[in-house]
Amino acid sequence: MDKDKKYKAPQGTVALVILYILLIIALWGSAYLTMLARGVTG
Amino acid sequence: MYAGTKKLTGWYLGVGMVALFIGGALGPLQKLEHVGINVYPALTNVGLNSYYQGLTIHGVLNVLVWTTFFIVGFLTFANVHSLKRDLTHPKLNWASLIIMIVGLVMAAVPVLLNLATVLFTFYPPLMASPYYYIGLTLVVIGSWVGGWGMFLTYRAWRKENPGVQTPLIALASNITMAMWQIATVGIAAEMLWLIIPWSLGLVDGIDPQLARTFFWFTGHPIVYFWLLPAYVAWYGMVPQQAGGKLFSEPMARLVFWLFLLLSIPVGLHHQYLDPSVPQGWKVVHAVLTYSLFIPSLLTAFNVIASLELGGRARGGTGLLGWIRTLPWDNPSFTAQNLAMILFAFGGIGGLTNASYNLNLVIHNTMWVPGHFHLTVGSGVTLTFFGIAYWLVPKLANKPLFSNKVALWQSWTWFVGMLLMSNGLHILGLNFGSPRRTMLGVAPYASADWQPLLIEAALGGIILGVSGLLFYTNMLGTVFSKKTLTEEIEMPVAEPLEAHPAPAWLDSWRPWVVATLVLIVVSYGPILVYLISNLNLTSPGFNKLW
Repeated sequence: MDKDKKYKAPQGTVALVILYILLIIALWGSAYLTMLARGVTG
Repeated sequence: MYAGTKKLTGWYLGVGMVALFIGGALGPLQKLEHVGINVYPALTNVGLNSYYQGLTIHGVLNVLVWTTFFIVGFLTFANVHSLKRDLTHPKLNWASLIIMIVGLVMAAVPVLLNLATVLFTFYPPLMASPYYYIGLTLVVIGSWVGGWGMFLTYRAWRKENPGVQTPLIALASNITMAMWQIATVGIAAEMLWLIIPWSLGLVDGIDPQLARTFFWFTGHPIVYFWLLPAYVAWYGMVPQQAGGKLFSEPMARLVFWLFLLLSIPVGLHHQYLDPSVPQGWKVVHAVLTYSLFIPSLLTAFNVIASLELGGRARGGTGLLGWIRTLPWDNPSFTAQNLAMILFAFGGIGGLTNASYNLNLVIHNTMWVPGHFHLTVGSGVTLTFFGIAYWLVPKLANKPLFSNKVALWQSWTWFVGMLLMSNGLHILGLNFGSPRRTMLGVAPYASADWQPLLIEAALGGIILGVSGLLFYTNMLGTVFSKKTLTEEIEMPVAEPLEAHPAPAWLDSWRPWVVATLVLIVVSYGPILVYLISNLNLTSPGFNKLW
């Protein structure tokens, strides 16, 4: 029973999706910072 | 079983692969030109006149022809095998193939004669030979006819199986085709009303702004037309190949319906720079574009969870130890899994593209080809290679020529694309290097660009080698003298939970009605505005190449 429950809670997937969301924030944010550093909006 | 469908699918795949071979071969040449090695002058004897002609061939054959032929063939095959019912009107599907081939030849001849060097976006007022436009229109019409053959088969299955829930693969395949039929109304209007009469000289001018708006009505959902067949494989097949089950089948069904709903009313995010499109409507389409992130993230979760089930079933333990136990020795699985990883990065770039102020910075730069080589060039194409590694042996009734070569092909594509797309993204974002440009002779090209251009060229060469490995394997398989001792079955992932999904996830009417309403709301006012201000005034330009 415990084994079945363990199969149904994809903890590794949750970890990878959280990692992906952090990566999105980092890369998307760095694109904004690069844009600002280039002075495009200045 | 289903011998006629197998033969038909083989033809679709074969034509698509020939197109990709020619189009793909020109890819590395573009990257070499950017680092100052221009081999195009040496190719005039074979009819290649310029970098831009090469770029047009590369774009048209890779993203329009290879994808459309593979998709119509694969979805027709998947629909039949998922429903376990042969085509009701096979002549209709064969007519689809013939129309598409006639269209391909009609479009390819002017491109090869340098009479249609207008790139795959063919933005007016650049004007190609009318045969180019008529040919591409026939390719789209042929794909519609293929879709009708699928729908009729599905309808017959529903009549024969009242109350039975549609198998996921068949449902997803038909949703993809339905989305394509609705989405291509835009390109049909552009071609039939504006471009073809103009290119034939029946009218004096064209309205480039309205033409672009019609183009992008189809131009963004075409991305999902490419991508959803890959999702069909990721949801419906890869979990089984990984030794697991589909984590949530209802969620998978919901995702396909959401893509039907949201794929189309987002095209204006490709037109942030277009001055005649009112800003307010760009905001509406930006918000709808971000909403596509919901089914995309649901897919990431569901597919990875399915892989985790497979990895754990194969003995993987710990938080991430299951990744190691996945079947990395199976090239079909490996190609598709690496495609998913590359596509994940493409998704992040897509969010940047949809951000208004960032888009103004990267729009006409190398960032954009960097992005779509991660999506259609990797998420889609590498997945299709992975599918071909089981489908072509099944169609040919011969074993795959070499598992090892297929694995090398998958990994070299992965590495080559990482290098090339990384270089292109940074060139665009950090330096504003223009896309669609012969940079090798650009006087403004900065020395600072060189390391990144070299990185991209190295990636392009590795991709070229990877492509050769793929074709070696395909030809080796088709011309092998060995035959299969046991028939290959189409992989079909079982759901983790056996009970059927809610009925509203197997019901077409509400989703199709909602899709049409959302299109009318998001596109109706802008199209009324542009059509009421129609300016058929721009002449065509065809002496520029």
